[in-house]
Formats: sequence, C-alpha cells, structure tokens
Amino acid sequence: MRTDWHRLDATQLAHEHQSGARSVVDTIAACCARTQRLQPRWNAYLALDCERALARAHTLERAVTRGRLHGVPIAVKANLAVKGLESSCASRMLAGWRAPYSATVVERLEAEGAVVIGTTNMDEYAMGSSGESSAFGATRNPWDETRAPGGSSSGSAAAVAGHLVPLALGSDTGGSVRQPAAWCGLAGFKPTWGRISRYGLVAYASSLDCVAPLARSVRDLELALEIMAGPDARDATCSHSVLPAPVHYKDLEGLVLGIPQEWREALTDGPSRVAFEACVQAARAAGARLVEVSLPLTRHAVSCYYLLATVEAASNLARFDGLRYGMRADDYSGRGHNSSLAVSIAASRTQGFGSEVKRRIVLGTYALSAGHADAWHAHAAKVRTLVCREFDDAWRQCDALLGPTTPFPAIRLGERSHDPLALYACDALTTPVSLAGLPAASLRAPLVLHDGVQLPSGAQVVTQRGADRLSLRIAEVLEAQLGTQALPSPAAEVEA
Amino acid sequence: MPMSDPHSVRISDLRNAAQLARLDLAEDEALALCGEVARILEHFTTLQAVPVTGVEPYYTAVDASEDRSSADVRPDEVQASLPRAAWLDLAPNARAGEEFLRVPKAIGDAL
Repeated sequence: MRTDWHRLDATQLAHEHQSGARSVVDTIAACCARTQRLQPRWNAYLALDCERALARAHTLERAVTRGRLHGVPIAVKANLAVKGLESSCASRMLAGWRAPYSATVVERLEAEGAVVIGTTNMDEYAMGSSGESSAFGATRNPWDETRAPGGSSSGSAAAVAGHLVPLALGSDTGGSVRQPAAWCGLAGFKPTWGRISRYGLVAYASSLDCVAPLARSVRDLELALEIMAGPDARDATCSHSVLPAPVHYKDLEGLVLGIPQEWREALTDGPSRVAFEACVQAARAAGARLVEVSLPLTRHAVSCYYLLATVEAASNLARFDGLRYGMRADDYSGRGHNSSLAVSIAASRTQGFGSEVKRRIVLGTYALSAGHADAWHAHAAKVRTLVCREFDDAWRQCDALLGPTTPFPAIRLGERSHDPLALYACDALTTPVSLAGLPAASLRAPLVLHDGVQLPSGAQVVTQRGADRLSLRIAEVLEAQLGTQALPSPAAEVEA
Repeated sequence: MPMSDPHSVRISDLRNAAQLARLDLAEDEALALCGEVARILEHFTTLQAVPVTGVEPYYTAVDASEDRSSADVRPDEVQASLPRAAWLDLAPNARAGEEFLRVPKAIGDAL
C-alpha cells in the first residue's frame, strides 16, 4: 500500500486514481486510519463515516467512468447537508440531525468521484472567527496546537492543513474560509456571491453567504470551482451566468494590481508587514504594474458587516424553535406555564443556542426592531452601497486588488474568546470584500515569526464580480513567484 | 430618523429584543449578554460618521444587471419531493408505520 497519498493535492491524487497508478480503496482506507488517529489531536471533525467512505471507494474502484475527483477524500463543513451524515452546525440545537438529502455542491463533487469522509467542526452556525464557539469543543491549528485555526470553517481548515484530506468545503460569509486559510497555511477561495449554489447550506446571513473551498493548491480550488459553479434550479439566488473559460497567465505582464493603502496599514505587527511586502515585490517581479488605491470605508466594514449579518441571522435562525426545527427543551414545565408553546420555544432556543449565537441574535433583533431599524440596519445598508462604490472606483484604476487576508497571524486559543469586539477585529480585511459580493482568493504568503513561532500568513487577490478565474490565476502566479506553493507543512510529517 | 446617540442604547430595550427573539435568559445571563451587546453597539456608532443622505440601501448582492426575469422561474408544476417517511424519520416522536408525530400540547396558548 502506498502511504504518501496525504502529501498530494486533489488534482494529482485524482490523476493517479484515474490512471490506475494508485488504488482508491487504499487511499480511502489510509485516509480513514489517519483521520481516526489524529482526530483527538485537532478535533477537526464532528462526524465521521468511514464505513460509508470505504463502501464508496470499492464502488469507485470498479467504476469505468472516472471523474475529475476520482477517489479523492474530501471534508465538508457541518453546515452543509450530506445525506445520512450529521450536519449539526456545531450547535446543541442540531446535535444528532442527519441530513435526508445532500447539498447541490456535495452532489456535484460526488458525481466527479469525491468521497466524503465526514462533516467538520466549525463555529456554531458559522458565527465566529476562531473556531472556539463550537458546542463540541474548539478545533486546534495543526501548525501550532496552542493556536486557533481561524473560523468559522475551523475544522475544514484543520483537516486540510493536517493532511487529513486535500480538499474541503467551508462557507465564507465575512471571511470564514479566507481567514482560516491564512492562519493554517492554505489556499482558500470565496467566489462571487451567487456563483455557487447554496441549496443544502444552513443559512446564516443570506446576502453574504457563499460556499467556498479550501485546499493546499490553487489549482485544486479552481477545479472545485469548475465542478460546483453553475445554475441550480433549487437555488433561485444562484447565478445563471456561465463560468468564463480559464485564463492562462504565466506571469502578470499587462495587469495592474491595486494595493489598498488602508489594508496595508491595518497590519499590526512587523513580521506580517514584511510578509505582505514580499507579496507586493513578487507581483512586481511577475510583471504586474502596481498602483496604490484607497478604500477608506475599510475602517467601517466590521461594524457594517456585523449589523447586516446579525439582522439576517436573527431572521434565519427564527425557525429553530424546537418544534419545526431543532432540539426541544423538556424541562420548561416548572415555570408555571406547563405546555405553553411560547415557553417551550423560548426554553428550546435558550438551551439550544450557545452564547455567541445568542449575542448575535439579540444584536440583530435590536437593530431591526421598531424605532431602531432606520438608525442601525438601514444606515448600515446604505454604507454597504458606498463600500461597493469604493470598489467600483478601484476597478477604474486596476484589474485586481492585492492585500493581506488578516491583520495578524493565528491567535492563541482563549486569547480573544472573552472579548467579542476583539474577535470581530479578525475580520477587518475580509468583510469589505464580502459586503460587495466580490470573488477573492487567499494565497499562501511567507511564514512570519510570531512569539518565537513560525506561523503562516495569507494575502488575498480580489477581482471584479464574475472574474473568479482571474483572482485564482493571479494567486497561483504569486504563489509560484513566492515559492509558497511548496510551503513546508509540519503536519504532513505527523504520522498516523 | 437620525442615528441614536450611543448612550441611548438601553439595557431594557436589549432585554426586550431578547424576548422578541424568544430567548428566555436568566437574570445574570441577560445582564451580561445585554451589556456586551450594548458595548458592541456603542462601538458600531462610528458608522454615524459616514454620510448617507441620498444613498440607496443595498440589501443583496444579486447582480441587477443579470437577466433574472424568466430563467429563474420554473414551470408551476408539482415535482417529486422526499418520501414522507424520510421526513418523519427526522421527527423526535414519530412512530413507525403511522402518519403522524407527537408534539407538546400547544393549542389555546397565545404566542
């Protein structure tokens, strides 16, 4: 049995399965063994189904038709439906809930031969930036187990960074794939809003939610995009526009890259600034013309995002009442309202939701309530218009924007978990892009020395709406120029 | 309506919001949570500095330039769904072979 499967990216692994050079059954068996061995270490998964994965591997081994992800193990964030698997959103509210159908994106990946190993840990209902708000324990960062992997797609990032799978699905609402990608030394991609179907994704903030992949190579992200993108009759918000043909750039000659000065200034530590300047130099060396642009509303993006997202969350999560959806509290009878519907609902929601979810529901309900909606929600929605206009102005000066993905590298577990505003600040550079619905690829920037530890950092390439391929291609060229596509990953050496 | 003064965020309003959101918070949890939300809202008042007169709100990232007039609307025809048993399997108090499920008594209670 060949034991080096975990060092390959999804594209290479699929090629070797397609050609018969490698056994799908051997790969999936080794993947399951490694995952079960390392699960206690990083807590990347919430549900594993190795029996199902192995049965599927045997079927694929015999298959005549071999898809673009033939026999490739993948992990899926627990807010996406995978038929028969638990998709709990890392919440007590949905603990034990097994999806009776699969999300469109899961169906499309499986149709190309992908094998789902399990559903991954996350911040509860995708509300968090560190992976610590899971009801089932925090995920640890395989690069440094005392640190957070980022969130909310924490388990998906840890699974790929830990070489448990080469490709995983997350969701990116305000940075929930790009930020963990940056903190775990991965490539992550947020598509244009509406590019990829969200049928089967548990809604958090509908005007911002995107299904988004994480991988250890940019080409894997593009492959996942090609497979998942396209209209879906089951999602009316999914775009009907066709994904443009691939763009081929060996370098960045002829392209103009804008560097937002506010994003550069947001970097809080010296090593992160050095790492980002290396990305800028790499862009110049690859032939791009660089211009400085200004996005002054960046400083308001976190406030704007959290007001809009929490309002939408308060509405989307209203359905979890213990009757139509979610766990039902049994111990509400001592309040003198035995069998009262209202008391049952309130008790179920109070017991089922964790503290960060409750905080956001109260915030969103307040911001949308009578007497406050104009001052908070409507005002934020107008600021969002202005954020979009700032990006539109930038596109008159450049083809793409290059900036850091996060203001600082991975934080220590517990470092900010008692200060919501400090946690929200992690999203300072990803939320502007989300508000405008733009595509953004987070690439691996050079490692940074932080508190005596070498940690990953990320840079994001943002393009105009619909130009998903361009952002990925620029990211790929930059990684090649930087040499970070071959970033040494300590987790790869962790033997199962 | 002008944006509220940050100090006008009253804990009583936040507790009312918690009730509207159907959360039954114990006294100490309510005070802690509403205090945190008040602090967050105070921080968010910096948005007041952004002038928005005459600006239209932006509630969705749907591309207005895309023709979505007819392509998104499927024919109004009945389509297959999951079998009833698949849904009943998800209910906590469904009985095998029966076409109903048990829920707590609720009729007669005002919401």
